[in-house]
Amino acid sequence: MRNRTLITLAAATALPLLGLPASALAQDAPTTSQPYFEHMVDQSRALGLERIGLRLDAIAALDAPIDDELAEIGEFDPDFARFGGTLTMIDETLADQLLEVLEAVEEVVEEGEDASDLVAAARDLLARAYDAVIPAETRESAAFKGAVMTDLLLGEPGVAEGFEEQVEEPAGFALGWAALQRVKALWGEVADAATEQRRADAENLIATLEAVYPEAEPPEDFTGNPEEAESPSQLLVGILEEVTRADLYPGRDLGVLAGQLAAAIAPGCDAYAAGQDEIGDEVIYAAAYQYESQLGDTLGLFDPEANERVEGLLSQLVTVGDDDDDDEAAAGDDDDAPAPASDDDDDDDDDDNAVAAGDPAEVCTALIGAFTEARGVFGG
Amino acid sequence: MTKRSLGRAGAAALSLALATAMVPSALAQETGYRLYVSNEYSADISVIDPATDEVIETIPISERPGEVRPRGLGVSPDGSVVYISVSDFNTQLQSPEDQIIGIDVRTNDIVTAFHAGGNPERLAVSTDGTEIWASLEATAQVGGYHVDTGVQFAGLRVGVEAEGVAVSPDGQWVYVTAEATHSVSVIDRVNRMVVKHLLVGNRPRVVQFSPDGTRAYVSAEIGGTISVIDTSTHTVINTINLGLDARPVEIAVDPDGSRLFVAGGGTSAIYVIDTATDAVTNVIREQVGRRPWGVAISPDGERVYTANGLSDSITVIDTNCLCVVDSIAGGRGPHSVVVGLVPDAQ
Repeated sequence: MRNRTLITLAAATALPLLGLPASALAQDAPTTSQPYFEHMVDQSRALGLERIGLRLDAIAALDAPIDDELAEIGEFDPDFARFGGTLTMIDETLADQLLEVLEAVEEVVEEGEDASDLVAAARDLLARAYDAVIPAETRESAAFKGAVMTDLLLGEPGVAEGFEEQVEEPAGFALGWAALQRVKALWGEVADAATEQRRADAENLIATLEAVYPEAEPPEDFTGNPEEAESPSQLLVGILEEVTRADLYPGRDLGVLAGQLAAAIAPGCDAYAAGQDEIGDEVIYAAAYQYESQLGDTLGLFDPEANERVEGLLSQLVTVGDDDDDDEAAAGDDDDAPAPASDDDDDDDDDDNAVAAGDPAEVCTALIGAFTEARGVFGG
Repeated sequence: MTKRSLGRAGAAALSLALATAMVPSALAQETGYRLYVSNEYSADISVIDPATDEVIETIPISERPGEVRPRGLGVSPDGSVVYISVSDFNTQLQSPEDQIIGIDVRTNDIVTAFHAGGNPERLAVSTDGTEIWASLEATAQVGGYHVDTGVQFAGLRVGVEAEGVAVSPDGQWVYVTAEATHSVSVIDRVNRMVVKHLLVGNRPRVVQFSPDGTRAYVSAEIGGTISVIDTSTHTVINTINLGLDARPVEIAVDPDGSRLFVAGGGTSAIYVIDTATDAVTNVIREQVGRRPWGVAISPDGERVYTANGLSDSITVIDTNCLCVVDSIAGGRGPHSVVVGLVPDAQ
């Protein structure tokens, strides 16, 4: 068992670092961009466009007729809402054409027929929509691509989550496979900025993920580790942070994130006030995505009422919470579990902060207040 | 090396087991301790004799490797029993194999096993040896269990995706980390209640107390940090930056409390921290196995051992030269490592 050769290497294998400040020791990727803060809404619009692309890629890769349990792959509406208002404003004809062909794809998939021609047409329109909605300077930046890849790796549906959810939602596997193909393509666009070692590391991780996702078709009987894709996906995002010089975990400082959300939705509130509800919705979708993926669980632990307030306001504006598994876990089911001690524990103020359903601009403004309150919870 | 069977062992296998077990037993007495490594993918425990740095026994934990996994490890206060949290890979599946298993260090026999539903990930034994506290990943709870009966006496809500657990040296507090809420929940062990949640670095994994109990250290995988907690106030008083790529997981505290050894899963490195200054003094990289997650230190503080998940190995580090002196082939997917004490040798 012993590796004798190592014994001879005993001397001086540790890097002496005495006297250096901790910050100098940290081998941080020098992050210069914060794409989720700087372009939060554009990243969300891109996520909608990318998700539609994943669905089209998965449909193209699966043989018709697509099994009923995979039919949800052809549901495009929630993703279109992330960018549809802006696209309509820029090019109404293109928006109508895209929506029309997506509806046709959905119908053909439901009928169990071959959708190849329609998928090809939809891809062409989607590419034009991408160019129209996301400014060229943004979409060509490495940080933006890093964030897109992060969403594809860690978001939903994505590489890590799709594999984990396949037991209950086989469509997740096919979409995870498609997400991986897209990550591979995008990695090719930024890989030149990587060191030789980091490039090798990333390609090893991608190879690991390819072994996890050998094809788009979900396995019939899965019994392995549902989290098999998570660790390589997380490690790959770590490399992407270094290569794209971007902070790809916006939840590292929750107070800052809550403050950013409060600021980011202000233009959405203005859009609602101006009667541009679809534009307002795009902003709220962007904020809701960050809130749910980065902040909601934690606020729910530290200040459940504040979390309920935010969730209530978000749900008045857009469709949120399509996966309640975490909520169930967070709520727990043990009546014996005592609430943590809190200096400001006061159930009586629930109603004081409730916002009735109504004008979206007013709800949006209340949401700014709720995010600001959340920032206070985390000392931001 | 002995490879045990879960089922009824044949006479020949049993004879072999007895014969091989005698030699390492004698060797183990030279050091007084053994290493126990949980192997996530082969669903077994490697027992290592530190006198020879060889695996002397492999203890199967489940007949469903790849579906059931042993992960977190804990040790009784006298070091004589090693406890393992075992769970299904599918965190949402309420498997009968979600359980806590105890192994006698003297015999390497499984001496206790009881159900712990909710996907137990890591555990800690109370300082009086009567209780086990386990993080229940699937239910966002920490479970308290009587060691002698296996009966659950507490199920308290903590953060989402509970993971690291530690009992303070004075037995008063149980700290539980939660990955998804970036939190540590503080539990009053005697009164069985959560008294506080505190925010630490992003995606906290493991918590360890200093030997004197005045400090707790929490690794944050995404944050790339170690949070230093003053246990008298349960507040974070310092954050040690290891770098975003470090991906720290387990922490071993030197017996005298002067140094921390942190497993950097992202960089395949071990970070050495001076607890007097909270400064990183050394980073051991060369010859460390790939993706070290687990780390433990010998009772005399002379050796550090890491469980390397991607290279299926255990790295042995000399704490004087802070250099790698050996590498031991382990099972598939080493997750954690602890030190068990051989009673007769103490």
